[in-house]
Amino acid sequence: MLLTALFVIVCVALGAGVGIYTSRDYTASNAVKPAVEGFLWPNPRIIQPFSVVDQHGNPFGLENLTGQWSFMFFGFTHCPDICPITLSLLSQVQKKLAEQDTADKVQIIFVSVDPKRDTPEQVADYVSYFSKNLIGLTGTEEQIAGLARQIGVVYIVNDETAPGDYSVDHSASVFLISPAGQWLGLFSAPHEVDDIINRFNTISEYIKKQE
Amino acid sequence: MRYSSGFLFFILIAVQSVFAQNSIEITDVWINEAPPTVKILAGYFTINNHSDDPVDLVTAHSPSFQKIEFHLTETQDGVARMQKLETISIPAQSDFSFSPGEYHLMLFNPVKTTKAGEMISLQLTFSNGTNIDVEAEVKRSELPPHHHHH
Ligand SMILES: [Cu+2]
Repeated sequence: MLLTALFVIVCVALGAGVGIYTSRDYTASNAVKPAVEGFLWPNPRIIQPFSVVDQHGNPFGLENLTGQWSFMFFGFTHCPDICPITLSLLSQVQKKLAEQDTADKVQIIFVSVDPKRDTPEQVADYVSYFSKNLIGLTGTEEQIAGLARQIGVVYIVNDETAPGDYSVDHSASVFLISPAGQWLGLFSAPHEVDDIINRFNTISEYIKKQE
Repeated sequence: MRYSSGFLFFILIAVQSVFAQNSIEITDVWINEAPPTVKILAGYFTINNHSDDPVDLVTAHSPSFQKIEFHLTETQDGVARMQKLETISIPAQSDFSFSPGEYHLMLFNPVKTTKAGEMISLQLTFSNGTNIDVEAEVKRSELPPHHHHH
């Protein structure tokens, strides 16, 4: 009985010691991982080189992601409901972030999961409607599939309901890529401007402390 | 000025009987403007069924579009999918809303480019034989209503 009690005391003392040790350790690395829904730290996926084309027909690859934060949304231009809502929302996110004092460089990217219909011209008309600053990406079916696979984006092209009429099921999430080309955040729908901004600010603050 | 409670009661009955005649009301109707090259638009509205009977919305027509369908966007495991619905059932004494990211009118192939500010005629037909004509204003994309996840 006494021995058990002694054992417990020793364990608690050791536990406290470990606690002090780890808390010192955290102070040294300067931050505890913030509890942000969809924050993929400490296991972000490093984006591998890829190649697609932008709305002007210019090549777009990993080098166009590095050096700034990217919010990516995968959709298609024949999508009248959630794609326009999400792109309007992301345009607002970009506008609000630009007004912040600690303005990180941020780009908003729409990736077409319907490259058969979404030519660069079609994508150009589509994205420019929402904001001059939006980037629109398309490519061959293989190129788009390759990029989508890297970020775990799911999409399914459905059968035609009438000649040329078909719908594409696609991820409703917004994906955050860091300036180092790491997939760091997964924001699931339904989206809210302020919620996305708060989560982004917390994540980018934390990442800066890691550097 | 003072009215007797009897007079107020009379007014109340009169107002109610007007509603009884218009047992189905369509409110907050609008169409989301789309980039000019897009040939599919989405429309939204609320159906107020003031009657004591359930009713189905069975068809929608517009001289401005080749075809109109009822759709529901459903997000499962993060993947959004549009599902076509044949009819929309509205229970007795209740409202049913079409709103961004959920139920929407899927408007196919506009006869001409539709711009914000324009009014589009829609005719909605219900299972009880009621036809309702509404004018839908084309508006620039609105954000979805706030969803709180506390
Ligand atoms: Cu639809």
